Amino acid sequence: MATQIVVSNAPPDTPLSVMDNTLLEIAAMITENLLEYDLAPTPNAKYSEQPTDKLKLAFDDEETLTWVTFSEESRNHILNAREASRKLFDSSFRAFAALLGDRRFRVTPVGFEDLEAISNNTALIPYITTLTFGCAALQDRGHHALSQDVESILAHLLLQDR
Amino acid sequence: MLQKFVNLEKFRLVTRDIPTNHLGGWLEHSDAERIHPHYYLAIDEKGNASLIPTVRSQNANFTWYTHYDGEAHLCIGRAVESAKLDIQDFRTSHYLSYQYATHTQYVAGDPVHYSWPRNYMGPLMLQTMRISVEFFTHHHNGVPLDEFIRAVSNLQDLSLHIVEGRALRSMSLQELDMRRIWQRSMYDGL
Repeated sequence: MATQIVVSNAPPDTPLSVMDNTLLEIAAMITENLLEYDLAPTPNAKYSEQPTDKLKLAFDDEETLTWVTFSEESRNHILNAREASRKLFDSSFRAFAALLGDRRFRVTPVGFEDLEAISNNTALIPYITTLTFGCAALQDRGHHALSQDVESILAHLLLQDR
Repeated sequence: MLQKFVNLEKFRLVTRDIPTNHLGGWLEHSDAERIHPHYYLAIDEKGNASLIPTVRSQNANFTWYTHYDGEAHLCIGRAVESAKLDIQDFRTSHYLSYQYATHTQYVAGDPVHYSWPRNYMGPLMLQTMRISVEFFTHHHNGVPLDEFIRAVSNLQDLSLHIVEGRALRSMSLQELDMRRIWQRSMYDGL
C-alpha cells in the first residue's frame, strides 16, 4: 500500500475523517511539508547534494545523478496521506506531482501507459514540472529490428500530438 | 503526449540507465511482478532489493541491457523536439565507467549523435544544464560547445562532466576550449 500509485481524480473511498474539516489551503500546506529531500545528514549535504536513499544494484556499474530526489519516507507519507483523507487527497496534487518527477519513465509499454495516464489527469497535469526519462529497455534484435522499434516508438510518442 | 505537460520546466535524462523497475527505484517486496521477466528480484536480509539479470533468456535474441540506449536518446530527443518544450532545467546523469565515453551508439548502422540538447531545446529558456561532455563529442557538424554556451544567455548553473578525460580524445581541443568558455561567460555576465 505504501508505494501504490493512484493516478485518478476520484478521491479514496473512505469515510469522512477529522482532516476533511480542515481548510483546503491548510491541508495543502500539510501535504507539501511532507516532501523531504533525500540528503545525507552531513553539514554540507545541501551543497554536495549527496543522497542517502540509493537503491542497491546487483551491478558493478554505478551512475551519479545530478539532481536530488525525494526520500522514501516522504513518498510513503504522501501516498498514505492520499489514501487517508479526501481533503488530503484533493490537496496533495502538487506534492504528488513533485514525487512523480523522480519516477523514471522508460521507452517501454508500461512507461508509456503510465505517462499517458498522468498526462490525461487534468487535476495532476498543471503541477507536473519535472519529468525524468530513463534510457534503458530497448530490445536488441539487430539493427533492422532496432530501426523498426525506433519508428514504432516515435509513432506512439507523437500520436497524441497530432 | 509531452505537449500536455504545459508547465514542464525540468527535464532529466538518466543516460546509461540500469533497469531496476518501472517505478525507478521505488522497490518494495510486492513490486516483484512489475519487474521485467528477464530479471529476478533478490532481497537480502536487510530488505534491500537487488535486480539480477538472467544471463540468457529463452529468446536468445532478446537482451535487456543498455548497450543500445542510443535509441532511447533518439526517441526522447525527437519527442521533445516535436513537443517544442521550453525546458529551463536539463540534466543528465553521470556514468562512472570507461566504456561510455568512447562507445559509439548505432541505430540501423548509423551513429547516434548526442546533439539534441542544442537542437531541440530553446536555448533562451535554459537556466540550468548539467550534462556529460559526451553530448558534444559524438557530433560532427554541430555548434561547438562554447558557441552553444554563449547562446544560452540565461544560463545560471552549468555542470560539465568528463569521464576520465577520454571524452576529450574524440573531440578537438578547439571544441572544448574551457578558457574561451570562461571568457565568453564572463563577457555575458554569467
